[in-house]
Amino acid sequence: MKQFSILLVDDEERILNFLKTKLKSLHYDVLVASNGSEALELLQSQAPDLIILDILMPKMDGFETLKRLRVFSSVPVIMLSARGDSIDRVKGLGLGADDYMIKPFNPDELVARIEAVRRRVSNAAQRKNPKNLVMGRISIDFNKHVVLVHGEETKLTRIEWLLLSELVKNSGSLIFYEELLTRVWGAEYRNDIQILRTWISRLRLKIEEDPKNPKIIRTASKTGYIFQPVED
Amino acid sequence: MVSMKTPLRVLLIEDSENDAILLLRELRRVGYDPFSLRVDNAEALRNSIENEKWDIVISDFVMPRFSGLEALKMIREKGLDIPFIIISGKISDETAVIAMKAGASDYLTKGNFARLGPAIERELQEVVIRKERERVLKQLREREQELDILKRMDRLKDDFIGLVSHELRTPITVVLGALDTVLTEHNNLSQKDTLQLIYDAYWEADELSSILTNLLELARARADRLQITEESVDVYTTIKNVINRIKRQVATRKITLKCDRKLTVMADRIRLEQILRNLISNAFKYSPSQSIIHISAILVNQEIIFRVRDHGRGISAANQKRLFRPFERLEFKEETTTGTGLGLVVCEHLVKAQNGRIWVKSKIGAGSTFYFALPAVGMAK
Repeated sequence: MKQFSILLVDDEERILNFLKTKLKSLHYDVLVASNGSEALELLQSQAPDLIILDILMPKMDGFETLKRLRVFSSVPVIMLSARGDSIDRVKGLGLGADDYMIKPFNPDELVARIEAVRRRVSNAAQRKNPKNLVMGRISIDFNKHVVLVHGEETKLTRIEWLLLSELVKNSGSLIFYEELLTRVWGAEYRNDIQILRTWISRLRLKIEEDPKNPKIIRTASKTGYIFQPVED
Repeated sequence: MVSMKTPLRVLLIEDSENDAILLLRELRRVGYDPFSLRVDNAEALRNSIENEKWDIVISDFVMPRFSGLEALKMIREKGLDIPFIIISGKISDETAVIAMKAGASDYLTKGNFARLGPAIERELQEVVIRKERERVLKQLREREQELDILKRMDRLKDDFIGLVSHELRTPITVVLGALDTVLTEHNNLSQKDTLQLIYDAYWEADELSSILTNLLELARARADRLQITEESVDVYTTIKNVINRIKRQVATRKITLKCDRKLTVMADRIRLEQILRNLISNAFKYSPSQSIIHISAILVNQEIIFRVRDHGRGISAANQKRLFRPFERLEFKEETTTGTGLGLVVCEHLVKAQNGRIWVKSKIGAGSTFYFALPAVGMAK
């Protein structure tokens, strides 16, 4: 069986060195890149299972790299930041990172996060999908990952799919912020409501007739969201 | 009631001697003790306003060689805030309006001086009020500017603290991560891998110690508490020691050294090492991998001039001026490389504390050369 492969991206050689040694010793397959463009090339040629991406790098930083790779890949990404504040965290998760760690970190904790992201992604893949849904102008095929709006295909990112399937599974009933955050990003993000709002508004842009006045994904003020199948 | 007469410096722009005498008599009558000068052409006016200070200008409107409006224009163009009263034999309402629009303070007709005293008094008071208002406004503007500068410094200091903590995070991550990996994975690691991790941790700890030294030196310098212990220091050995320390850390650049082995310099040995370390590690940081860093020291006019040259991308002229000012590196927009710019600021303090000079020559695309000069032994001031 193919080993789980991880692409490490950091411009600090010594950080790459201990991470590589640690992960190899735990039998992960490890690739390294010292900048964003190298990372994008390796992603295309080697298709790693997960990326650990440093934010502060010369030329192309981690955010830009993430933005570019999300255009063509839904590979799970854990970001590493040398800044203690929460701006980077919100920005990283908003751009589609799966997890976020602040330097300095304990290597064993990073390994635990890798495994948690890995579990979440594979659970999502194995999880029983909600039934396919047709409502008015929208039809959603959860098995084929296709959303048609007025018969035209709309692309959803992995996180948008996760969100949508969680919402649809609880169709008609309230789902709390914490619940959604835990299921999509993991328990340590259960209070990051801002990130959830960002992604919900993106999803609305793609499926709502009037995203400012949403009918399908309704907001329950200060508690959560309700998915309401409508025949519009 | 005996009243003191108020001194008044009056500049009369008047072609008629008799009219001037009448006017001065009127001024004395209303309580002034005038000191006056009479001019009746542009040249004389220019001389009189350049060389003397006047409380008030009283000007005839029409003169054979000059006019009241011309005189007014000259005075206002000079930026002088002196009340300007026009007195004329015949003045139409339209002319009066033109004069007032041009900035005259008042106008009177000859032979009707009833308003002269009150007009002068009012104008002089207004000058005082205007000057006071200007003084207050100027102060306000200065305070605002000071506040802006303080706000900017405050913001830079915040940014600086953020950046320093960021600069500390990378080495700490390596120290903890590398040692933790050795501790948890030692059974799976080769001896070579283990040794490499320990080396990595050691050199990053060394880096931490250097950042800390720079911070402490900056704090000492700003509090004027740098204690320098100068002695005769062997230049070649000192440079060699610093190079060896840095080289063992990062073997990705070539270093050349040109230095007469007999050179000695009057310096604080530890501080000299710190200056060299800061300059050489900057050269590493800001130049491409595999490039060459040239280091030299020569004796010129009783000074040892040290030189560290890199093949990095160079520094613009505008940024060169700001290099040695604390926190300014933070505002270099085009820079993408990390770093606090602390090293150079510390270098400057340390060089100056040893009676030396530090400077940079650089051009975008052509690398940078940092120089510093310290007194050669026997030449110390």
